[in-house]
Amino acid sequence: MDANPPVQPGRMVVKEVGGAGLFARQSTGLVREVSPLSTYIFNVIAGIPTIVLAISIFWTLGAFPGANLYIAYWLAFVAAAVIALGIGLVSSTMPRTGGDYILVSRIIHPAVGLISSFCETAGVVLSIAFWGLGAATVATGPALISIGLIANSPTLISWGNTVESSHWWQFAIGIAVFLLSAFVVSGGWRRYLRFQNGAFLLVGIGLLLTAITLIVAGGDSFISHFNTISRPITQQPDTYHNLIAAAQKGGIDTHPGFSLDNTWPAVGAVMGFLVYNWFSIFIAGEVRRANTWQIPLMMVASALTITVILTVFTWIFFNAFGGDFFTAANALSGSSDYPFAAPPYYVFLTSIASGSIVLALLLWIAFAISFPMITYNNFMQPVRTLFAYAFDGILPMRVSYVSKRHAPTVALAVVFILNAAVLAWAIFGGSGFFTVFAVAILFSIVPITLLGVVAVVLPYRRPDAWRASATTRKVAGIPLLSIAGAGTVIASAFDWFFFLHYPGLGVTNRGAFLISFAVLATLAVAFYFGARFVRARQGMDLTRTYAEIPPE
Amino acid sequence: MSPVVNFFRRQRLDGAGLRLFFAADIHGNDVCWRKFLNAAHFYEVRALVMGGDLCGKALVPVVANHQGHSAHVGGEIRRANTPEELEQLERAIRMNGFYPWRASPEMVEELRQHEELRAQIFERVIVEDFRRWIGLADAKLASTEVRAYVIPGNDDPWSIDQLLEGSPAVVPCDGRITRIGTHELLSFAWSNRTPWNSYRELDEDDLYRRLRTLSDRLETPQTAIFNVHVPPFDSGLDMAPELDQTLRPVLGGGQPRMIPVGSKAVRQIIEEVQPLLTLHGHIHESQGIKRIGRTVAINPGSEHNSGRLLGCIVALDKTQVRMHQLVAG
Repeated sequence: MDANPPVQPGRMVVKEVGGAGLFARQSTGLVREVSPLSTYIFNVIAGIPTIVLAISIFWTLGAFPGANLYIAYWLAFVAAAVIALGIGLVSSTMPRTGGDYILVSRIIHPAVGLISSFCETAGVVLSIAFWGLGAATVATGPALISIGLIANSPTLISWGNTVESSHWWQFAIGIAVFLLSAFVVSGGWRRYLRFQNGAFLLVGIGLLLTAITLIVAGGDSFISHFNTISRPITQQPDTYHNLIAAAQKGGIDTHPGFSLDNTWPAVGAVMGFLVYNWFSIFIAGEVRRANTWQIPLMMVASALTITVILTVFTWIFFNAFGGDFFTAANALSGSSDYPFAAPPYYVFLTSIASGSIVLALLLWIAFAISFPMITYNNFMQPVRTLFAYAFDGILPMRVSYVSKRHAPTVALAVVFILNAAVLAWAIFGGSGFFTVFAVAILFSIVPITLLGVVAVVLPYRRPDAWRASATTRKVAGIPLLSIAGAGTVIASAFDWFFFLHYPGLGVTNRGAFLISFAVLATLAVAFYFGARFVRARQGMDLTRTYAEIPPE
Repeated sequence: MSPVVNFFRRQRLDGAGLRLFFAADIHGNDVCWRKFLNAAHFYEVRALVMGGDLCGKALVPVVANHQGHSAHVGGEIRRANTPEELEQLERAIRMNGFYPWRASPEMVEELRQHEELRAQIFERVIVEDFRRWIGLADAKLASTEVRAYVIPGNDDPWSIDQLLEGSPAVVPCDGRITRIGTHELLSFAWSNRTPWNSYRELDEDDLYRRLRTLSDRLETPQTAIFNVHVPPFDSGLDMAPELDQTLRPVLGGGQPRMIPVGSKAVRQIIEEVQPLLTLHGHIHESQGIKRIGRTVAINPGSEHNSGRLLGCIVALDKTQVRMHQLVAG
């Protein structure tokens, strides 16, 4: 029985799209939320250049004398670009939200997908705890000390020292950053991208102010300001040169000749943060024009951006602070020869160079915002992964519950509690956290290698998807995607090599990594087969979730 | 029975049990349609339900030239010099949910110049392709017990309706109540108003009146299944970007502003009738499973342009939904 009375037929309106040989009719359709520009920013944040410039690079000057950082940056960029290209092309062929888990589980095996995502999540959760701790010990404490020194305020210096030494203050600041991150993520894309893009702009302004300050007030002006600020503490008129002398006396070569042998581990150190410019694959399903070249190119562009920033600012720092001093200060930081409670982060030294309380305050605010920025960027990974688990049926559907205000309440609560627990472990648990954190970087290489394998085999396992993608070019009869995937695997192999070969990069206990990996992999496999068993009791065959229906 | 015993006891459907597979919004994607037809065997279901918006959105001229053929795919020009390459090229176009249209450069130029001709050619291609789809369905399903319960969607031109009639494998059910197992299936293709002014749109009042008329014919509403193209308003299954009058997304903070765009009439009918299960499409980006009272409401979403068939397997007893599983085949 027909309930539809006759209706006047509609009229088809067809237009050529951009002269591109495609005629589209006016019809309803999906509009994705995230612009390619936002994914570029998202990926730059994943390799957060401000924090890298502060804590992740210049320690290599003392650890690997003679390492040429410029060569290290650009060799690491080549590896990062190759990795970004391979993973970006996979993501553009299968633009799905859920990241490595979705891609690896569909193309290799669901259990391998869980191993990949367990490793990635472990690395990210450990990193988030580190960022929470860093918000207190790298940003808040040194900022108070730094501004206190410039303002000659013992109160601010005392507060800074308290933050640096009090576990409870560190925990409170870390939790505050997590709460801010949860608030940002819970507001949906609109709030998230508003914060992301605003914070990114602020960080950019901070870097610009740093560059201008150091160009104007570097060199002799910096030496003069540094000695003035140091005099009340060291009681010496020329602390600047005394610091260099102390380092040299301690056996540190502040002006070493170039050493290729020591440049290789520096490449590894740079790769430790530069090869995560593919993080937007966790939101690929929400990105506009996700199935074009735009996404891999944005990933490469974000790696290039970070590399250029590192190159430019390293040059500025060496010229403004003096190479010998900068090497000596980074090597002596934390020892009795270094006079300040605040480490020689570039923000601290630039604040001293400026001699201005207001400018110092601006510089520290712009720097401190990096911590919530990287934290809520990292929050996205476990939240999206939990969503993907729930949609696949290996976790209950209620994990993907979204509130009326579109907040992923349950997944966010799970991630928040997990991160808070790991933060507590990091602060109150002694050295155990740092033993595991040192190998966290290796956990994060696992998905890179597996995604490379996905890229290699995708044209053969999903030929239809590959043929319809933007990447069907072949070189010597081999799909470009497979070649890019092989490049990703090789680049990640270098990453493995650096971290396992050079204990100076932090992985002093390879056994700890192997045991941790074995535990994670076993848990992941057990989790998958456990979920399959439970779902089978409920009449659900989980293997169907991962399988492709043959179209023929 | 204790929870522990219950956990280890495999759940089985009762004698009136039904396993069905639901998908929607495949928008002309040939691979998705083929996967839909194969889903019955693959997922071991007894019925296939399609929730509308079957027709594609774009026509890609495959232009003949002295070397062979060429067409725009994924932002690049691809060439085909052999019949095999031509087949692959057209397949890649179909995989994106577009229609390949073989033409000479002169015909393409003519298409550029004449608006009426564009509409005529497009509709002709849609009808030809849809006829081929029905033939595929007959070839795959006619000899089996499985039937495909298919409705158009608001985006589908009227010319495809007649093609749904007369197929041994396809049950045309828009605006009707049909039987699916022991359940009544209420099907409805129309949507509330959209900014695109598409074929099957109604004001909410009219939508409600038609749905009410239809649902009043249900013998046992509480065990019925609704296949209604548009999802209920503010259900979490209907979030889409707000559009302005020029069909551009309204931005907030540089990003599209997401708002509920489902039908209030559909929501009201679900709340009043409280069927067992409602199946929806229409909003591709709003995949999910929600409850409205006792009713389980599902929108499997759509990624038609990637050739992935998003769908949902549902197992029902006479009086309850036993299992639902979102899949991407």
